[in-house]
Amino acid sequence: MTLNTAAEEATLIRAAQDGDLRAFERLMHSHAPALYTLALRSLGDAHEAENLVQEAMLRAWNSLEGFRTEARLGTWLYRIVINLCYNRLPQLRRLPEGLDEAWAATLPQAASGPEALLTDGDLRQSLHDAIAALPAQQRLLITLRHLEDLRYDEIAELTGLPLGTVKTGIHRGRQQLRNALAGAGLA
Amino acid sequence: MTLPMRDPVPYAGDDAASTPTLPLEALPEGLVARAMARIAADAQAGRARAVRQPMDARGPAMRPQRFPLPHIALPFLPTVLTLAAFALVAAGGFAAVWVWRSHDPLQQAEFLLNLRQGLLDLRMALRLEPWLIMTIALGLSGMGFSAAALADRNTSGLRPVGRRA
Repeated sequence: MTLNTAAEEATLIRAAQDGDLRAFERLMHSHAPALYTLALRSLGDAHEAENLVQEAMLRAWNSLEGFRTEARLGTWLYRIVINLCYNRLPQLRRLPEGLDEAWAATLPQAASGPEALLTDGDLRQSLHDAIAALPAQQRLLITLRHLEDLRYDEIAELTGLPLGTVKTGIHRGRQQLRNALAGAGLA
Repeated sequence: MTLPMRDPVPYAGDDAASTPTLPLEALPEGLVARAMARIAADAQAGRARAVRQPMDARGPAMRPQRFPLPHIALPFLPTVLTLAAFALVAAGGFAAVWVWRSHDPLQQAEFLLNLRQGLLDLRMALRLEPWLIMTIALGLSGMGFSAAALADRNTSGLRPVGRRA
């Protein structure tokens, strides 16, 4: 279930802020797939991810009165999910070695991201598997980058990671995905 | 097969470019409904922000209760008003006579003497024929009361006024 316009979403947000649970449910139907995807790819466990998303929705409901409608609800919800993920998997926050701006500047020109493969529906499952095999933090960064076309600075703000770490993490994640798909004979 | 080449290094230009969205995971059935049920239960228990029922689920709108004003009906109101009007006219007449008479001391004395004589006559009549006077007074009162009751039958508070077809 997707909302047609931003105005419709803003209307529902205001109603939910006034305590209308039905409006909040419509909003959650719209954002739940992305939230669940983010949680599942971060935690790697479907049951854990479902519990986490429910917990995130409860927190969102309780904090919605303080949400400003000019902000993006999706990004706000991601932040809640990521914070909960951090609570359960502290290693998500840990900075991997060598991921910094200087390292990012030395990266060579390389191939396009594996998302180009998405034009072929048969490759999606392989891509899912490859993403699942990524290290936790790269999985989170890749998911955020491709979940709703989030910008790098938005991802850095959401995750609390330095911008350079976000960039290089996504680059490494893409590289690993590419290698995984190539190893499977798909590239 | 090789992947098409594209710069994966996150330059500013790349950041601004639209990124294809990866397929989302299949959402477990009923996840949102279970979350909403949990929120509703927590709200009822006071552990979550209160839930307000939407307008269409509230049932009929509560209207301010209208309390009917107490019906104060004065019995025989027209009769009372008529009597009051007569009393007023009579009082006015007497006052006018009194004022008029008061300008001439002789007339005033004569009026007082006549009045005194009238009162003496009335007292004498009451002493001599009290039953006649009382009968006349009761008859006049009864006639007046009956006439007033007939005149006020649809307006007085003695009789409930129903809705007429």
